[in-house]
Amino acid sequence: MPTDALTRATDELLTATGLSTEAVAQLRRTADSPRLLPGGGFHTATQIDSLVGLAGDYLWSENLLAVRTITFAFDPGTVGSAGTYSIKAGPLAVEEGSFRCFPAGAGTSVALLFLRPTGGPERIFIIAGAFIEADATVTIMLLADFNVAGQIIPRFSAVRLP
Amino acid sequence: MSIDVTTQDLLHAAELPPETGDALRALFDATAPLIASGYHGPLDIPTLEGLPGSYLWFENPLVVRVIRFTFDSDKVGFQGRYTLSSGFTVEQGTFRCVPNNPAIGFAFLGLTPDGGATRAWPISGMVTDPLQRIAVLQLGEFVGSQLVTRFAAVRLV
Repeated sequence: MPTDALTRATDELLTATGLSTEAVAQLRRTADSPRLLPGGGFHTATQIDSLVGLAGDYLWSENLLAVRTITFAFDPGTVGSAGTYSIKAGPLAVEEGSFRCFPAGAGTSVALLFLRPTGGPERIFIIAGAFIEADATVTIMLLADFNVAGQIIPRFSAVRLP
Repeated sequence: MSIDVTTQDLLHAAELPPETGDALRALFDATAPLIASGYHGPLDIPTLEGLPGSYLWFENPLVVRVIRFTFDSDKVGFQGRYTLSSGFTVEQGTFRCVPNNPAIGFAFLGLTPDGGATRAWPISGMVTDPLQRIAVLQLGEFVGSQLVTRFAAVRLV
């Protein structure tokens, strides 16, 4: 963006927000402050070294026209690698089965998620990226279709429900 | 030394006509402002041109909605229209956004509903994909001198 356009756009946004001159100055000082330590937590497909925090409920947008919820539950002996899942539309389960997940490095360079629905063909996704909290809880996963070559482009997401 | 020699060797081997080389150079220069894919922290948001599209919108964590951003054709990167829906349209208006900038440093996104008051958030981070699209936009608030993420917008389409 050209400098003059950036300046104009910033002025217009600040006018719209109604921020005071003091608040603008404070923002400017904070942006320059070395104390600014936002929690990053994002891991790319090759950086996901553990998926023990995967269990839980997520919004699941594999079908863009029908966003559903998915619940992952690890089996007791395979926490971090295998368990069962259920995809629901409201209270109605539309798909159930087993899943396996692989962090990067354990025989694969990228993190992978395998869904095997009961009586259906397995679907494989690359975990293209994930926000993972300090306690290992996965909050957002970006999922890409598996292919053996080419770029990893997220197709949909799983977002942890509160 | 070696890079220049290798480039010349490569171009010679490729037998590209000079005008093709010039066109490639122009294409490279035109795409230079684009950003690398991956995570970008709050002080690493040089452009928001990858914003257009639909996102899951978690402003109210108990009522997840879908927001669609479309830049005005003459204001790509900083202003356009948005529609917030939950099966039906619940809000629409004008959005403004700025990347990191000299005035306040932080990138911001503001929504001004038609006939309503502006809500604005500093952008605490984003994830971009290899197509330069924003995959996740983290919207924050200041707690003391800390910028913390309050909610995320996660791309649908």
